[in-house]
Amino acid sequence: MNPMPDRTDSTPGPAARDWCSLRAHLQATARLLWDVAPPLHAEDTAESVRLSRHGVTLPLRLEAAADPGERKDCRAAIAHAGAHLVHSTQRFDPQGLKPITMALIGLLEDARVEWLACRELPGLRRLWAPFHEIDLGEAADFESLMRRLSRALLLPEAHDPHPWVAKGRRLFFGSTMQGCADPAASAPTAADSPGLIGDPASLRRVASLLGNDIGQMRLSFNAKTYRVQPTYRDDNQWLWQPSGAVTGLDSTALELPAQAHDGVSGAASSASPGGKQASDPPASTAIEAHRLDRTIAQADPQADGGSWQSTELQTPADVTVHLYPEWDRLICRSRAQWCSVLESGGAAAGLASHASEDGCHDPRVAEVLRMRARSLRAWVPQWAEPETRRSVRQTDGDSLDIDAMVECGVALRVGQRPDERVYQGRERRRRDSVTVCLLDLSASTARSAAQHTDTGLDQARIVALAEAWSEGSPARGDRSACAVHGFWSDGRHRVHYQRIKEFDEPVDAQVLDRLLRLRSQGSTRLGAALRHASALLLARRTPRMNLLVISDGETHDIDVHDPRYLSEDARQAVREARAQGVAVRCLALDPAREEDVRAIFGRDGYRLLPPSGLRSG
Amino acid sequence: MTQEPWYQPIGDECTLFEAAYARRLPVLLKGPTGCGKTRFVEHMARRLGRPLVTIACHDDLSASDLTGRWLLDAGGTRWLDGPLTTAVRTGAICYLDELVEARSDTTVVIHPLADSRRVLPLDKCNQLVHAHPDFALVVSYNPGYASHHKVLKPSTLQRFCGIEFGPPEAEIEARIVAHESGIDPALAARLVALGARTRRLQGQGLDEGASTRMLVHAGVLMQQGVAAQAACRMALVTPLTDDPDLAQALRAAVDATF
Repeated sequence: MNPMPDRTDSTPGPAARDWCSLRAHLQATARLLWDVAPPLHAEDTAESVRLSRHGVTLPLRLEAAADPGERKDCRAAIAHAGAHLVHSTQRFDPQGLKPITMALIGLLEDARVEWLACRELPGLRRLWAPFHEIDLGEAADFESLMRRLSRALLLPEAHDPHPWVAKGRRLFFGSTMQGCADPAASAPTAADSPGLIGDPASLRRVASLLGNDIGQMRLSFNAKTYRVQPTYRDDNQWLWQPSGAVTGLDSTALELPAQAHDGVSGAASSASPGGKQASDPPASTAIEAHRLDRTIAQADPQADGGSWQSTELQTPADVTVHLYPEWDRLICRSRAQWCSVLESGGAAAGLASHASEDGCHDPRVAEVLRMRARSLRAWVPQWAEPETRRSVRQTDGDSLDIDAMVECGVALRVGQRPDERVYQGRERRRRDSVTVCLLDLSASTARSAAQHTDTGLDQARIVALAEAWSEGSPARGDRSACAVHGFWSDGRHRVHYQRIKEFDEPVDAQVLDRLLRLRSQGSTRLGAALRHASALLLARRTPRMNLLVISDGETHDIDVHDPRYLSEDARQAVREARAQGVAVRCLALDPAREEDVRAIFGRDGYRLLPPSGLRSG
Repeated sequence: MTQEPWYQPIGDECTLFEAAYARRLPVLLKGPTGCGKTRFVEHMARRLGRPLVTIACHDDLSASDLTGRWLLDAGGTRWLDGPLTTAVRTGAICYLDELVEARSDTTVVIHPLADSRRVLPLDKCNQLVHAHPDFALVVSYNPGYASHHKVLKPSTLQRFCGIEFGPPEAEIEARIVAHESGIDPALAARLVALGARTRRLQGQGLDEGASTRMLVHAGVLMQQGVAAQAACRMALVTPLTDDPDLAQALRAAVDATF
């Protein structure tokens, strides 16, 4: 079965942004409360919350994602789903069960996991309690009694006079939870809750007894129209074993694989809050592993037209291959050694294989490029942030330089002319820095953005040149160095990375020629290129490392069909680079894609290139 | 210092430090902010019966600030020892807090003290100060900060033995929070569980999760009569993040905990 479509993937605009914000909040909440990371989906046609191996589907209209009430509903749903993922380790065999008994088992299992959850996080009871407000005077039909029983099992102080509810509560607490009547007791362990973890059959027995009573009361139950209440609870369809021949149950119910796939790096199999053993992976791991298995199956080297080994063998001799991880937003994990960056051995050699054949050697074109880059130099942001440093022995300054004062006093006493430079101040200075100017050479840069007369690639050339001049080079006696690199991709096995100008290379005719030979082609796998550029910068071991990306922000590749996958990976790559001390910024070529660029580089991490008309003067 | 600062060992760090001090090896304390590095040094100095000279390093700290300078008085010029020289002469333990913040040329000053020479050259007064037999050098740094543009030179790092600090185990951390803040141990355990939850977001929106110091602050606020949720929002959520989605998730975790 295909995964649940994520409606926001193709729905840009304010509603999608609100959903992204809500999803980020819910994902962080799931991680904080339960250390799980199920993929989240919104579906306005869904009738109830659904938990499956594809994650959690919320019945939500994207337009309502910013509504505080909806956000609270979603938070309650995620807290409940997370409790299932951690505490519901047992699935039930539906064979021979009546629909009414199945509904009651679902209710009791919901109550059981919430009871365990509230022992660990007692504040969750306050979150869920408002959903259980009921009118005790309303007609006692089946659904009403189910709601009342749910309330009685969640809220220990709740009093319900109905004998069936009282019996349900007595059976629930008396049989399966004997001795654990205080939900606010200490954190749960397997030892003090044997009835909950070790004897799920008791839930079946209690459900059968309560179901018989419903039959005795002649209350009608319609399995087709029955919906789990309150609404924050999921439909419990995943609770049943898939082998059961029960009409209407989801055959994709949660399955527990033996272990997560090796391709997931990080703490996918870390201990769950429920304290389960390593041999009993939490359900979240199961979801992640399922998702991973499916994705790996899709991305199987055999399936996408060639094995990894053959990809390696096909690389030319002057190209070095570097493997990098890639962030998968759905499983919230990095896939180890997922992308291969093919770096051309030398700037000239690398360009030779990709150079445009129409020739760009006209010196007049190079001169125009040079002039326009010069005009832009003042506009290019200064990377090496000036530092303040104390300057001593000044003729004026903020305070007295004590050492100079002492020498001045000594000179006066021995009858010599003192040095009048007795002040100290702070002067600004620049530290050594290295910069990589990373050009997006993908096919989309062949277009001209609105208000721009140049193509994206032309603008990238000009900015790269301006940046290279602005930073200077060791050959000109400066302490800063700037390299110009470019990238384009053709699937995850072929992220082409070209070194156009080396760090120690002056900006000369050769560099200009290489810039002019560049052409737009292929796709934009930005994350892999960012990781490689960061690695090159880190290898320089310089205090200041800058990475300037010149891109239209349109991430795309031929083997990725999720529109947000690559931008999320790029965002993660930016985060990783910054954590390692690399200052990453972007000059965005296309104002229409400002939102995408902002999502990757952050609010203060990008700048829009001004329209051509502003620069030409 | 009259009273020995309370310190809860989280491993064998006290034994290791004593062993290093017995042979006067310089020690590097490495760990995230608020994990107890400074408290540990204060505790060990008291335990070893040595005075402690603490210097908070910053990017304007000059070599003269550490070693000393000439001053004028009525009788002429007078040399005034800096804190490092004082510690070297008197046999104190000199603790350079967040050494990575100091200028790289300043850190070179400690090199002769941190190897077998154990001397401090004072070029301005033409002296070579041999370290007192009881003198010891201790420095600390936070690798999380260090990655942001500032790194210690290998020539500095390789002179030190290292003790690594991290968040203690939950039970020990609860004991620390309860002792430092005065709150009930059960409440402290709950607070520590919340702190551990925030560390799950490290690298996924947060640079660092809540430190033990933050948890102590929350506990102190609770001890002052502030409601648990309000105390955690003040001491944990607000300082940890500016991201509204993340802050809301942290608030949800706080509400769920209490």
